[in-house]
Amino acid sequence: MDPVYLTCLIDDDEIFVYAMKKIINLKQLSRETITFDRVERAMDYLSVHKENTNALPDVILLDINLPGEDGWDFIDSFGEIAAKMIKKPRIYMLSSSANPADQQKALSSNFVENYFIKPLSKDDFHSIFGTWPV
Amino acid sequence: MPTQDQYIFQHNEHFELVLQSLDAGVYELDLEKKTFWWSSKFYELLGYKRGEISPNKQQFINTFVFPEDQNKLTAIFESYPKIAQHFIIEIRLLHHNGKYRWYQIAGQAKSRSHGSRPCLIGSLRDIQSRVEQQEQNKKNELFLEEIGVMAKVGGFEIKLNPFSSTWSKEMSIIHELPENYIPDYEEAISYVKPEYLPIVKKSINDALTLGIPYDIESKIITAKGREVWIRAIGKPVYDEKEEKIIALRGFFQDIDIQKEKELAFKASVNLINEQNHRLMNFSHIVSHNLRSHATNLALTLNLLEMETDPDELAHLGENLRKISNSFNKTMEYLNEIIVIQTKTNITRKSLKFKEVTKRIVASLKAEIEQIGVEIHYDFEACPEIDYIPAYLESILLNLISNGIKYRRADVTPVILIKTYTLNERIVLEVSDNGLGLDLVKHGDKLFGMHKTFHNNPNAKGIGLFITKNQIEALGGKISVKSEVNQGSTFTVVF
Repeated sequence: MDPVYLTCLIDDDEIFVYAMKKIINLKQLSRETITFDRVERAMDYLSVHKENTNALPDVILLDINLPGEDGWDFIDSFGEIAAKMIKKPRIYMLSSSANPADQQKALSSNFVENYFIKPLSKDDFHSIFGTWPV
Repeated sequence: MPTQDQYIFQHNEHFELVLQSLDAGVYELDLEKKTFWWSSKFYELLGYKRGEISPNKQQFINTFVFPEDQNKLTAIFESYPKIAQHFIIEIRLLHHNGKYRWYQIAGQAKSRSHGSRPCLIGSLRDIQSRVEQQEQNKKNELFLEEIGVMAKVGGFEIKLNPFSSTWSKEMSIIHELPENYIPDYEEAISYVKPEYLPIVKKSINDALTLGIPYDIESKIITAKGREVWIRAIGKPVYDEKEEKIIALRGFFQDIDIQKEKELAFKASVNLINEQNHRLMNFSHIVSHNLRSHATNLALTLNLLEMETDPDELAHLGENLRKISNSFNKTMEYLNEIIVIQTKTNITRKSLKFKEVTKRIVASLKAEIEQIGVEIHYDFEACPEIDYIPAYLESILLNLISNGIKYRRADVTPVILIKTYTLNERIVLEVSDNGLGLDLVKHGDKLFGMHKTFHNNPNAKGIGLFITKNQIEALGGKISVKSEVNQGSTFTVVF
C-alpha cells in the first residue's frame, strides 16, 4: 500500500476528531490530516480541489451520523464528482452504530472501501493506513 | 247395475285404443244412478285389473279417498251438474297395495242428451312422483333457509332481459327489513354504505358484462340504520349454450362479528409492532450513544498515557470532563424517554389549547421577536383536550421551536397552529413556511434519534423523538408532510 500523505476526517464529534488526529500524528500514519464537521464543507473542498493531486486526500474517514447531510448523502454526492477527480480517495465509513443494515449498505457501495465500528482497533488502523508502528 | 250401453266410452274400440295409449285413466259417473264406469287404465292406476271391482260413487269416496280429502271430492260431486264447470283437484287415493298415493282428478259435467243420462266424465292421473318432488323441494328450501339463517347467509339473483332481481328471506333479515319484503334492485343497492358503492357496483357490472366473479367485503347500513360488515360473493350465470350471461347469482353473509374481531386483532398487532419498533429504536439509541462515549473515553485515556506535553495533557483532561458531561446528558435523555413510557397512567387534565400555546409563545418571546416570527393559531373547532399537561406543552414547544429553527432566511417565518376533530379524534396541525425537507431521503430520520448527544449545538432529532414518544405513549400518532423550500406540516392525532 502506498504511504498515506493526506487523510480527511469527516465527523462532528470534536473529542473523537481531536483524539483521532493525535493518534494519526503520533503514529505517523499520515503526513497531514484535514477535518470537516459537516458533509457540505467536505464536498465543497473536494469539488474545488478535484484536479489537484496534492490537495486531494488519499484516505477519507467518514462518520455516518452528522447534522444536516449525513454520511450517506456524502457518498451520493461523491459519486457524482468521482469521475472528474484526478485521484480516488479510499473511503472508510465509521460509526458508533452496530446496526447490521448500515454495514450492509456501506459495503454495497462502490465507493466505500470498508465499514468500521468505533473505536478503531489496531487492525483497523492497519488495514486503513497499511502501517501501525509500535 | 246400469246397462252397458248407457256409458259413452264403452264398446267403442277406437276409443278404447285411444284411452289405452294415454297415461291417464278415464271415468264416467252416472249422476242419476251414482255408478261409475272406469277405463282399463283407471283400474291400472289404482292397481286393479279391469272390472275387478266396480264401486259406486259413495263406496268410492268411502273406501278409496283419503279421509281428509273426502269432503273435497264430495263437494265437487255434489255441486255437479248444477255448476257445469271443468274441475281439477289433487287428492290421495288408496292403491291396491294398501298405500295412499296422490292423484289428479279432472272432470266435466255433461247434461242429459240423446237419451243418455247426465254424467260427469273426466280423467285420473298418478301425480305421486310430482308431489314427492314438490315436497322434497319444499323441504330443501326450508333446509337451505334454516341454514342460511344459522350462517347468516342470504342469497340473491339479478336476471337480465328483462332486468329483475330477487333475494332470500335471510337477505331481508340481514338488512333488518320485514321478513318477506323483497326490495327492487335500486332499493337493495341503496343499503350499501356510500363509500363501498363504487366497488359494489363495479363488481356487479363486471360480473354481468365481463363474467368476472367477485368476492368482496363491504359495509351496509340496515333499514334500522345499523352498520354491518358483509361478505358478498357473486357469480355470473350463463345460458344453456354457455355463451351469454343471463343472470348474476350469489350470496351475502353477515360477517360483522368476525370482521370486528379481525379489525381489533389487526389494531393490536399494529400496536405491538409499533411498540416493538420503538423498543428496537430505543435499544439502537442506547447502544449508539453509550458506544460513542465509550469510544471517546478509551481514545482519550490512551492518549493520556502517551502524552507528555503539559498543554496537551490539560487539553485531554478537559476532554475527559466534556465526555463526562455528555455522558450525564445522555443518561438524562435516556431517563426522560423511559419515564415517558411509564408515565401513561398520569392523570390527564382538561387543557385549553389557546392557554398552553400562549404560555409557550411567551416563553419563546425573545427569539420570536428577534427573528420576527409570525405565529397564528385557531382553536375554534376544538378548543380543549384531556391530556397530560407537561406533554402537551412539550409537544407544542417542540413543534413550534422546530418551525423556528428550520426557517428560511428569505421569508418571514410564519407558523400556523390549528386544531379540529376527525373521526372522533382530536387533531393538532402545526405548519411552517420553512426549509422543509426531502422526506424520501430523510423521512425515517426525522422522528428517530440517531444523533449522539455530544456537545453539538445542532443536536437535532432529540426533540421530535421525545415528542413522538410522548404522543405514541398516550395512543396517538404524529406524521409530517413536507416539501423542500415550501415548509412542513406536522399533524398530531391525539
